[in-house]
Amino acid sequence: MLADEARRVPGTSGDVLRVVESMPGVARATAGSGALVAWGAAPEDTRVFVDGVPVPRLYHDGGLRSVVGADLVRSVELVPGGYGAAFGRGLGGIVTVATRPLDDTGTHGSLSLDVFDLGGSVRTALSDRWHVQLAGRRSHVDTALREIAQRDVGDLFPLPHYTDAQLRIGYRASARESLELVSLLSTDTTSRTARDPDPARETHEDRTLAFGRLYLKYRRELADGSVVSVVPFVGLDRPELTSRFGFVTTELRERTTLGGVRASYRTRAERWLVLETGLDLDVRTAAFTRTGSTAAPAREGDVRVFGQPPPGQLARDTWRVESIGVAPYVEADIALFGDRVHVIPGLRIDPNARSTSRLLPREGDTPARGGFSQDLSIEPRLAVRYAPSQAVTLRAAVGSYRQPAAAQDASAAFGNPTLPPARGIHTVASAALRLSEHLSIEATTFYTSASRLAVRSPFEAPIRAEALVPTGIARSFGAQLLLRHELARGFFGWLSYSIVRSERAANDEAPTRLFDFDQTHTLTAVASYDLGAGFELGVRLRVASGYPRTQVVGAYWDARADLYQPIFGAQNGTRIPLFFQLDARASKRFHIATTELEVFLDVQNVTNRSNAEELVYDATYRTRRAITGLPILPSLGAAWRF
Amino acid sequence: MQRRACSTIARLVVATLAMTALPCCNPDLADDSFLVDTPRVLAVQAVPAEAAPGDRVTLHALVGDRNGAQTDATLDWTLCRARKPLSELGPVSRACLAPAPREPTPDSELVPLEPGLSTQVTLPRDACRLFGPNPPEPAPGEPAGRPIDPDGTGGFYVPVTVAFGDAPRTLASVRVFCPLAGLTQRDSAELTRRYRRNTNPAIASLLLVPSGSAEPLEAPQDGSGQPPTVRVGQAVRLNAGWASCASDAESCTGAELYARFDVRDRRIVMQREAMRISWLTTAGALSPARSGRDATDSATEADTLWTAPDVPGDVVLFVVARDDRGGSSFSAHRVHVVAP
Repeated sequence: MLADEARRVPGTSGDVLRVVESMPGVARATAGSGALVAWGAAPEDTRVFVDGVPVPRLYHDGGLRSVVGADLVRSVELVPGGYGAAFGRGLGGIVTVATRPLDDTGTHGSLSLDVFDLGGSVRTALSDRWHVQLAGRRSHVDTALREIAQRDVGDLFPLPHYTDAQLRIGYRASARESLELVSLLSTDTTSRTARDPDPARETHEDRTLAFGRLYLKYRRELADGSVVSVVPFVGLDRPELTSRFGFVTTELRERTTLGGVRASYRTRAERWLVLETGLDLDVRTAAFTRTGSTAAPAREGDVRVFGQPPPGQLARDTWRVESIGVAPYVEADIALFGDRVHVIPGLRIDPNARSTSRLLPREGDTPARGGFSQDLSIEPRLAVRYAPSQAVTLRAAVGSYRQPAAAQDASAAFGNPTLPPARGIHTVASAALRLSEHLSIEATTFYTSASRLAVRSPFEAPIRAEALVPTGIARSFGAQLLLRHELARGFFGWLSYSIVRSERAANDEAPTRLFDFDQTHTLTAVASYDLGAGFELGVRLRVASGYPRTQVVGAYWDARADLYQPIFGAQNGTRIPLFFQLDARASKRFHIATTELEVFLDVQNVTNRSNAEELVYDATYRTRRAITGLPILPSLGAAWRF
Repeated sequence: MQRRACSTIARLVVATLAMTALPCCNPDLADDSFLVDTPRVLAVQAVPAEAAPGDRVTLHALVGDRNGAQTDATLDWTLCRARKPLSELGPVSRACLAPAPREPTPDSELVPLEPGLSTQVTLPRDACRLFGPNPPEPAPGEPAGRPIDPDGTGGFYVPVTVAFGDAPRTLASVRVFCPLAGLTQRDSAELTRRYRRNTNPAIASLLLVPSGSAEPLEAPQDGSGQPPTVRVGQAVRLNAGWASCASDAESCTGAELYARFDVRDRRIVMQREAMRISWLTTAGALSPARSGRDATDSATEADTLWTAPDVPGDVVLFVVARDDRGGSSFSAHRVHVVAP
């Protein structure tokens, strides 16, 4: 989707990349999480790329803003499954963000202010060949939310505080060759403390995620129309978590340095054949420190209830993981039968090696013994597109995918240093019908499966250094329908409905259960209309099933802790109630000399519905209630563009 | 002037938002578990508070109902030998929550104990392998298993469950002394030398300070003296005190200083116990129902506010003291509530 269209979608507050949460196939995230769940894949399995460079997240904490300023974005694309050979190392989907070319003449920019943050950007042509763009943003939403919600909202949901900044320096050697240096910086910090006269019940959490990327974007179009693209990059990821629940302290600190190159050569070898060959190189060094319980932070699949204290057993580990993956790929686009059929085979070969600093938990002064593993993954991909007529397009895709084990799971005390990569298969089929010049309808069905997922050891006496075992299996299947009206005569919008079932099992013999992020029904309707004279109106409707939760069917009393502990029923046997939200946006653009001032009112939850976001119980687990999301939330703002 | 105008606009915007917004988020889930109106177990004390595998430990339960402490309740006690899997996020294996078999076999994970208000249990000789830092028995051909991690105080616990009438099952945890594994020889020797086994805390005093009264009232244990008198609906501050412990004390009934291995810094440190007081009552309201001092706070008292009921009569206050090494003690105190 192009940025100009995405910016006007209600509920996005002008943030182009927030349109992804309204796209078909994306589950509605819990308020305050910002998690991206596409076609039943875990949030950490969907990869995000900016200009082909991997970044750890698309949204800041809370999901209110993306990590890249709107003025930098040309387009955003979500491929929930069945993506091509150029990308890999992820079992979920991919989100690819393309930055806009730096080719404007003169000086342009924007300044925006709303209840969430203050942001601005400026881009200018230093000369015919040199361009520069600088953008930044700083939040104040935590201050604003404390004014409009109950004082204890920060006790339950961490109020986000974020900043991001981008710098781009572009050199246009010619109309066909360009080089650009890009820097991305993002920080998120949240902190909350719930005081209690009982020291065993006082809680505190500090969370920080800072990351940076620096990359060169080189593109050259050759005389024969072939395109060469090389993007070397380096980066840093710095997530930190410190939390305390009574006497149980959890600390998790990560320092990752990464680098790589994404290079491709795309050429029309024959009239009927387009070939792309490329290389996806990724090198990482990660150092971790972790203290606390094996059960904190919680993992997908843990049977737990919101607010349940973590177990009191504590361990500590420090470990390093170095990994390198060098993935050449080739993809062909073969046009047949007068261009009505395109067969797109691809092959990605991903040899990778990994070393881990410690294979066993620390024992006194015994020197650590590390480990080394290597893996060769051959990932064929195939897509077919058939257009029997101008109005009808049929697509199908199948592919093999692989995802390295998370470096965070390679602890000998908390995880398993010998976890192998997980594997998956995606199959997708779709049919699209163009109903008119601007109206189209598309039906898609999919089936994905995965194996060798890391899950908690179910044994009473797990083997040392195997707190996690690679026996988890997953499958997701479903269908979605999309009716879309492209921008025409001031109106655009879409109506999408998806029905998805996502399941997990701890191993081949364990019973299947619903995935923690399974969301059976998701209905999204978006409409935006330009009334003329600078006025624009838009609405967004979202209806979604609630996430599964495990019901508490009883309780026992822990006399040592003076706490009731839950007794659970069937895992994920109940759900959070249905979510319904209507958002609206109204804006007015004023032209002031050569600049444009847009004043907008973005109202989330127009009907002020109390949507349940989480299930909670009283201290004895006899009474169940729901934590509700934010009430009607008007966001008055202004954006000045020049 | 311009700056003031911007600030004013900002405040107006926030105020506009505030007027349109309604309270959200936190449901009202009042915790009235401090009110003892049906028979249930209120505390369990192990004597000694910490014992070695093979040692005999006596367990005493405090059972209360709307009339006060019960002296003739019959509780069903069960020793649980089931190890907790890592996938279980609670404090104990779910297998421990089942009733004990009528005729246990030598391999039974659940071993019934003598019923009654008190019972005795012999800690399993393999307690440090089942619930502690010794690796569990590996299956034939398999490498060694993962031992249990200690809690923040360096402790390990043997689970004993209690069933009483219709009340939820109670989990009592007996602290078992197991030498920590994974330490250097020097650290292990130093910890063995410096460590003092836990002693149950004791409530040295309970004072009532009714609102409008300068003089605190002593509250003797139920049945051992004249109960104090307060008025209906009166706010009364309750203050529980415990002994101050010297750093070199072999044992102490207050917040003891003890040696533990700090996993973060990998060294032996001395730490003070945290002390928690749970307050319960047969009538009236308590706020907060639990108070205490964390490990950094050397104060030797904690208090709460009890609001006497609106009807005259006798009320029993229960006070349970817990340290963070599993030790506990309890007492019951009768109070006369009279009309003004």
